[in-house]
Amino acid sequence: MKDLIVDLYNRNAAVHALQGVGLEVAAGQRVGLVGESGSGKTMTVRSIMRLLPPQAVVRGGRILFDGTDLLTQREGSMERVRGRKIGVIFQNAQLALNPVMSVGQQVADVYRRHRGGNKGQAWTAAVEMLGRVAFPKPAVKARAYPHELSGGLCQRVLVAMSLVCSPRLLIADEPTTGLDVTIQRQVVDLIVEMTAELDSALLFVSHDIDIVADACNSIAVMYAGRIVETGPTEAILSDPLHPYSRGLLKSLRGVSREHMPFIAGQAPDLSSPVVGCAFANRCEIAVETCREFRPPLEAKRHGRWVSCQRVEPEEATGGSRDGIVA
Amino acid sequence: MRRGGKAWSKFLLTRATTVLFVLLLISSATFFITRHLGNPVYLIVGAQASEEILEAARQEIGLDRPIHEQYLLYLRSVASGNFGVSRFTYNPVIEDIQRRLPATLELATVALLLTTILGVIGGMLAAVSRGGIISKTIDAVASIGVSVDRPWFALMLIYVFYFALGLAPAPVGRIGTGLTGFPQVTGFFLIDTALAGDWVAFVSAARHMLLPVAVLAFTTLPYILNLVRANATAALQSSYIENARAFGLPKVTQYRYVLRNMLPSLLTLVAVNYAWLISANIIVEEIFSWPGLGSYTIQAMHNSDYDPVIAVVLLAAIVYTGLYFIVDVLSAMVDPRWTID
Amino acid sequence: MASSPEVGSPPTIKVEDVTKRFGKLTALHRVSFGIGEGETCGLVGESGSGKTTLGRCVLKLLRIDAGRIEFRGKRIDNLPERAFRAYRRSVQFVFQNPLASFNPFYKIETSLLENTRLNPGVTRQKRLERIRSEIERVGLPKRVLEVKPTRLSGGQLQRAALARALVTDPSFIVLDEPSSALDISTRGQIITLLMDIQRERGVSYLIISHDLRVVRSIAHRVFVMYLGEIVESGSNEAVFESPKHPYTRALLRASKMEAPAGVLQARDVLHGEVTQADVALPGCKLAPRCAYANDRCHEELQALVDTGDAHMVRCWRTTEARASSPEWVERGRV
Repeated sequence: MKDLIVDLYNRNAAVHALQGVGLEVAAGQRVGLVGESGSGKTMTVRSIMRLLPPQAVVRGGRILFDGTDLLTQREGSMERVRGRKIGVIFQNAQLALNPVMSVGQQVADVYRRHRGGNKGQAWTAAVEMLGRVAFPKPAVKARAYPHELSGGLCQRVLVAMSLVCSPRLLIADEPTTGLDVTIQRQVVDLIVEMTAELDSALLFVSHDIDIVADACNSIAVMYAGRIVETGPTEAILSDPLHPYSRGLLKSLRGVSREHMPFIAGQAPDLSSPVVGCAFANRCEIAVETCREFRPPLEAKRHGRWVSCQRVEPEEATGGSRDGIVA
Repeated sequence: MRRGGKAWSKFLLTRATTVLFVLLLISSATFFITRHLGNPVYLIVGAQASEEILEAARQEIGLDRPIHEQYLLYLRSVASGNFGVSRFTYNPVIEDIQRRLPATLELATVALLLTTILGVIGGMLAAVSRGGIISKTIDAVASIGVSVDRPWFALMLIYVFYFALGLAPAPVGRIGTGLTGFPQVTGFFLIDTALAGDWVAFVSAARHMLLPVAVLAFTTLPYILNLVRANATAALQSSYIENARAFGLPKVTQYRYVLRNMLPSLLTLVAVNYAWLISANIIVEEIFSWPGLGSYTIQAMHNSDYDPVIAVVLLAAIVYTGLYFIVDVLSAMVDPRWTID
Repeated sequence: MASSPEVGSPPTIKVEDVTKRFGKLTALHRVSFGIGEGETCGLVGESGSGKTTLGRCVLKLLRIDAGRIEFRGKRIDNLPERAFRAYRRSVQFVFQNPLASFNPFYKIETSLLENTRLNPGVTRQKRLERIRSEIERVGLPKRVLEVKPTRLSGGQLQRAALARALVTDPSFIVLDEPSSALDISTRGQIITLLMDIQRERGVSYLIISHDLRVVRSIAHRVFVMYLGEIVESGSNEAVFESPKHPYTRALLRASKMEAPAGVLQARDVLHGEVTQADVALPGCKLAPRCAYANDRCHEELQALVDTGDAHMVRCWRTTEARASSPEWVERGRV
């Protein structure tokens, strides 16, 4: 059963933020979305939640959640979807919390919204939730204000808020960015644990492929508003197919004394639509035709889809994927 | 700020000391300035008085004593509530003030409530509608309110609503003539008439308030409108509101969050407004013949009767510093990010 | 206390016993190290480690409460205002957020010109030439000078920031998280550029970063900090290939930078969080979070001990174990 299928074009003022993004998250699965700045991963998240800035326009596509196309829903129904069916954890947890209210109060507010109850019940529930996310001394610390807590603790509060809602799908947008490396692992473990407990699906979005790999069974790599590769986590880490994925992993793994690999050039400016493959200007194996035709996202190996004409398919695995605009 | 015992008391103490210090400073300044304002002796005895009479008068006021003695005398009398006697009404100033204060207070309070409520609602509407017709209308109202000349506006309103349309009562005070039969409990006509069940008087008092309150409200509304709108616009774009939306919190809750955040600034502005309305609202009171502190002050100034003026200035200082102190305390209680400086 | 390794001539920067407090908060506690000519020192740590504070102190953007800082043998922590310009000319910096480093109202050229005013008595013409050559050196096209900062990407701005630092021909540059705001796939660009420039000009660097990969590639020597103290220091190879302090090991493990296989263990994980309260502990500041901690760790303060070849470690378990069995530090087994 498919929980979420995303398939859309999006234009933010004059910027072509998303150019045909196709994604699928099945029930109970954990899918990672990896991309750097300008890749469109945050736009994808916002599109799903319909939390786009006013100048953004979705130009096409569908977002199927449990059979319903979210793009056609009105704000009122979206309000019911948000939190209850789809939860989001944003990056920079301290800013995501209201600075003049205690964290316990904020969790309680979410509780009352989704589960009802009076103020007393909501507070007790909030404290209990905070305890479940390993928030130290919840009964006391729930009265604390966001600026009194560290980034890691604030992130736990956000996880607690999404716990309260028990969503079918949890989207985590860069939840570990800005946190200390030693804390990042804790937060990721917590998120994975909670989604397992709630039996929710997880869409984990980050620029850090290692973190995503820890959390997810499968990964989709985004570049310049398009998905360029998808596949199981281990496969992508051990044998990346798309030149961008290869470059990205080399930047991470290939570091040694006096040598720090990188991908030359920079990501294309998306104010004009890109002709051909978006990565062509930085790609080591690009040929003329790469700049002319946009490569479709096709299955090149079993369970592995790549958007690159220079990658040879191994076995016959079928043609283009349904619902993907190529 | 957390309500921790020691830090909190330290905070209160520091603030209270500052208040007292400011009051001392202002009263001293008032003293020294007025002593330089020309010779008050002539006011009492007239310009053609003979030397002996002048000298006697000088002694009576105490102007022959050295300046520091005068200062101490002054401080002593201020502390005991003796502000001198009005040369015009022949009453002790303190009594005059007591009699006139409720009139000003009532006007100020009603105007303040109206301004604040309209301002908050209007500002929020403007922030939410963001460029729509509502927002533009509110902008227009704010611009006009801030640019219009208050006395002129008051006169215009009187002309339109009293002379031309006959809707408002004559601007001759707080209530229609002959209607003051009700017992004065608080000095606030609206309350006292209601308590006495005298509805005719109640309506009259309310009608007489319409125009002055309208003038005051309209000219102080823009400040609150702009503050609320700016704060709300910023807050609505902030991460925590976005997060609240993402968790499905309804609009009402979001607005509550936004208001909560702007409370300290709002409170401060409300305090400033209130302080002004009480102590510096002179012209509107004069135009509407409102028997309050403002018209008292003008009358005293016209008569070169400067004891009342000093007293009102001091009162203004007390009102301002007192209100600021209260607002400081309230803000610290509401906004947890405040730390004691 | 660590003694700085001898480099021959007086070290470019020498930090000795520096302590810095912010009110009740101790950011740095008796920190000492030195940086030689043409050398890069990497300062590694997480939030609360004091690494940023240390950088600011060396740049004289903050005053230290105790200790001394020397630049080429001359004491600079008590430098009078007049001599400050000369110091700033020799010691430049590049900070983390490239957009925040530039005045958004000025063209890039103007910002760079501002910095050339530190150069004594040079004509405007010469200064413009200088700017152009540095912009070229960092790999940016000349037209970048004509635009305002918002028009450039993060990577380009960071290069411009480096060019600005270079126009005064400094002998030492402090780089505080120079690549952290950049995409992972392009971090190497600026790091490689930095290394090239060091080879050409003999500039020394103090690189402050939480990104271990950056430090691994560019630094000659590495200092690991935790809660205001140096807990491990040594050559790049020593620290990354045989990390001894539990904190270093946990950092490496969390960053997925496996040293030679088998060195790091499952135990090399920290639980709990960093809190300033731990600074007041009688023993090791890491003890509450450390999987190796024993009673002595909780009770007694340790000093930095030389475990061979100027590889300094502040840890009882390391130094004890070394005394009893040399295998512990080589193989990471206790």
